[in-house]
Amino acid sequence: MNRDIRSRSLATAILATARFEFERSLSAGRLSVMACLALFPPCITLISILGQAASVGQFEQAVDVFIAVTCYIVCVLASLIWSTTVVTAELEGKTWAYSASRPGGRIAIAIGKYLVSCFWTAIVTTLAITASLMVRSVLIGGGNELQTWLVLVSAGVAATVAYGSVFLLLGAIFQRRAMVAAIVYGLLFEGIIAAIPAVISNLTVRYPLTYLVFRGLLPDNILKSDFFTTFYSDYGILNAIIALAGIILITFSVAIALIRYREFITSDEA
Amino acid sequence: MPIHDVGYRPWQGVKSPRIHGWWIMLLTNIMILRRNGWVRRAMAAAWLPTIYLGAGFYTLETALHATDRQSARTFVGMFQAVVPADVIQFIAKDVLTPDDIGHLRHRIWGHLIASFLSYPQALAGMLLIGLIAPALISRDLRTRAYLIYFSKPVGVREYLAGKYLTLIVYVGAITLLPALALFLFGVGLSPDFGVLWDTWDLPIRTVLASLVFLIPTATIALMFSSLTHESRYAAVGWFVFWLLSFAAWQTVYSARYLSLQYEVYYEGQLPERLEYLLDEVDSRRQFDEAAQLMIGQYIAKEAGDSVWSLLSMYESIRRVQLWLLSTGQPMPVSHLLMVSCVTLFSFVVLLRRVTAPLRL
Amino acid sequence: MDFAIELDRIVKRYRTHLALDGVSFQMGRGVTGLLGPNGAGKSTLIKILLGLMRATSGSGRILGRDIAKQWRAIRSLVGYMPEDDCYIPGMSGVEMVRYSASLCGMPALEGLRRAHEILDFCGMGQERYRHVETYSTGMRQKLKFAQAIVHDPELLILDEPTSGLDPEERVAMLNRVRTLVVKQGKRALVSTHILPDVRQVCDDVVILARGRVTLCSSMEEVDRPDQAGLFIKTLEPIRAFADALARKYPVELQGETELFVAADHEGLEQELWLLSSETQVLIESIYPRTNSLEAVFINAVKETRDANS
Repeated sequence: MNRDIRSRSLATAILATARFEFERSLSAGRLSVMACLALFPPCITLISILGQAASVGQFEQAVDVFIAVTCYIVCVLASLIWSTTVVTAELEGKTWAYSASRPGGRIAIAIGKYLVSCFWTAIVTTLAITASLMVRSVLIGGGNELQTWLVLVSAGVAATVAYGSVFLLLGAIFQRRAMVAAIVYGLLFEGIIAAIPAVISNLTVRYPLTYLVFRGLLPDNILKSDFFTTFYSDYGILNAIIALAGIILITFSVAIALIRYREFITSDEA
Repeated sequence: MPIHDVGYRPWQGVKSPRIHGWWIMLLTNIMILRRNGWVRRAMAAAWLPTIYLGAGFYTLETALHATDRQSARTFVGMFQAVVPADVIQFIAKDVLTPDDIGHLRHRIWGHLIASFLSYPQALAGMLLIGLIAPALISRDLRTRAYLIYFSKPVGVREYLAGKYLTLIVYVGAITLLPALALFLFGVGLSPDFGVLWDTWDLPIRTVLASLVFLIPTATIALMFSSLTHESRYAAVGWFVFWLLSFAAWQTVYSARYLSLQYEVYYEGQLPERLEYLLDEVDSRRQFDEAAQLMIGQYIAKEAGDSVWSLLSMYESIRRVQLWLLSTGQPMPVSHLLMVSCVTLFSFVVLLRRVTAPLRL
Repeated sequence: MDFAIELDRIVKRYRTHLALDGVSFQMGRGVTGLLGPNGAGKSTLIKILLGLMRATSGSGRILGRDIAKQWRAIRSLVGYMPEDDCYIPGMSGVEMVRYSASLCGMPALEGLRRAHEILDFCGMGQERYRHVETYSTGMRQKLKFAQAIVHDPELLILDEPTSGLDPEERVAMLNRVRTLVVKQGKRALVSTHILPDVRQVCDDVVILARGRVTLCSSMEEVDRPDQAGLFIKTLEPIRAFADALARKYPVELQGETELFVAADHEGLEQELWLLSSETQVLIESIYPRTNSLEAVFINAVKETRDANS
């Protein structure tokens, strides 16, 4: 009975935090940052189509890849901006003491802010994908836009949740310079290690995610090519989904545990 | 409480007639940053590429002087991505005359230092700036530490100079300093001091190329720092600026590269002077790695030769650095202008923001 | 007389808002209290004095230096203690004070020695080696004061020097200010909202309201009442004493054992003692009537408000 009441009050607190954060995020500053991020991929798609050196075949497929890459970058950046700062923003703003002193306050603030962060990241990524595909469709035409849109949006939502958890964890570990730590993680793990065709790349979000996107977008002849099989061997869709779900579950749980039990220092940064 | 307290005593000493606030700020910032373990580790890690480049210089000097061509092949293997294909072809010759060596050394050293500055050290520099710069001014705004400076005989110019120099000293220590160390390493490995005759201008060019990186990046980083009271937003702004502008250009570049590659390989369109290479590449029996490399470099050059490269500040800085460190390259006027304009704009914003708390 | 501060019709306008409207006053020796309600223009005035911003019009001199042109010399001679916290995270207390000394041109080693000496004077113990971001409000106040005086300035500009201090520390801080002024001949301009501090430490007072100087006077003048008189308190019921006194002077009863007599001339005290003896009423205390600083302050602000409306 007590547990039931407690979990209901925690759920209420999480929803209250999420609602408050959502209303707070509707400021002009934040909306303009979101607009900039969402407009980046369609602008780049436009420029890359207009600025190509020669109008030749196979370029249409390349544009799909550019759209996927730029939207991926936008998704990672949006996650980095909003998820990494879940804890540090409270500590630097000296509001942590209020959250920490309420029953379940730490967990409520972490999950509430995480949900809002994921919501906005998913919105920005979806808008970016939609606008980019519209630009592609108008300027080049051809291709299966609906399938591409579905694949990219699903991957975008999965990336949002996964990177949100990873950056939430990094923010909980690195109280100071969480942003720099997240960027170093992004460059090292998601930039370099994810590109190594070995077991270690399973520890990154990008490896299973790109596999799923490739499976959804590329034709069979490329999926059976030497390059693809060397890089992914017999990876499989199920493996990719399990890997992604595992990363999300582990990083999110560790992050919440850290936020719940760690003693954070609320003094100013040195 | 003290065991012995003399109370307040007037100070009888002589104050420095001309106070160098920027120098004192620099020393103090260095003292604070020296205590930061992250900064220390980042700086140590940033010197690691010097070992690779040092090995490159060693292999090059061996290749230039040994009759055994193995060193030349090793060098080509290590640096084929950054050294022009014609130089690589030249270095692979059986016999090199002293004139060849003098000419080659200057070109290759310049290219190696340019690549060193614009790839590993630029990345390390940006990370280090991202670690140091965001707090430099935003922290002063948040804690109102600017009052400490501006209630003392320190002006806005000295304040900014102190901040600039902090960044320049730290980032210079992982860009300019290792680049000069590489030059000295190369001189040390060469057979005689005559090498200084061939390469005397390279240290000057290295200093200029480093400044082309240091001054714009420091200005942009300080501008971001001055725009907010919270350093994490300055850090985000800094990284997003470089990442998005780089990604924008890389996407356009890739589009151009892919379309050109298709044109060259599938439609056989190469300039007349390079057409013979295509035959060598297409003919599997006579596959020529150097020809492949030259075609690849031609496509890369053509793909990169676009006004859209101005989208990336990093690309603009890289091209100006390459121009400064290599002979015979045309001046990249548009990139030079781009770097100057962005730097100037950032400086104006920085100046307005720094004087803003005083106007309130 | 050499003035520490001379201001002549200083005007500061921010677009549509007039922050200072022809401020003129002269500050001589001792401690001058700068009073005014929030938004009166005190902070703007201090910033103009330090050369942090330019006045729209008017002129002024600090220790003989032109505020518009000689800001560097002025800042060397002035010690400023801001109201807000200002510190550099990552530095210890003694490093902060040494830093201030160095910025004023003191040699590095001498700056360190002087920093320790000043921190001793400010009552800062071993906590001087702790990082400043861990300091309590009181310790930060002491640190700011130490930073303001480390370079031995001739004039101190102290903005709310006792805010956030406990009663004991407050008295100690005011004593330090007084010591510097009385024993070392320094001049101090103290901007504060705490009127008892002004009464305790100031020799002169300047009241600023809506960008104008509404009162510039010595504390002696401020204290002098419009109507002279004495407050008398007795140990027994005062009625008989009051009746006897009322035959010669206007008397106002203020309870069972207190009265106010509207007279204060030489020989009156003697008369009171005689009357006490005659009426067999023992006197506990006799106080001359003074103006309340609170009343003076409120009147000065009110007059400006009335004039503006």
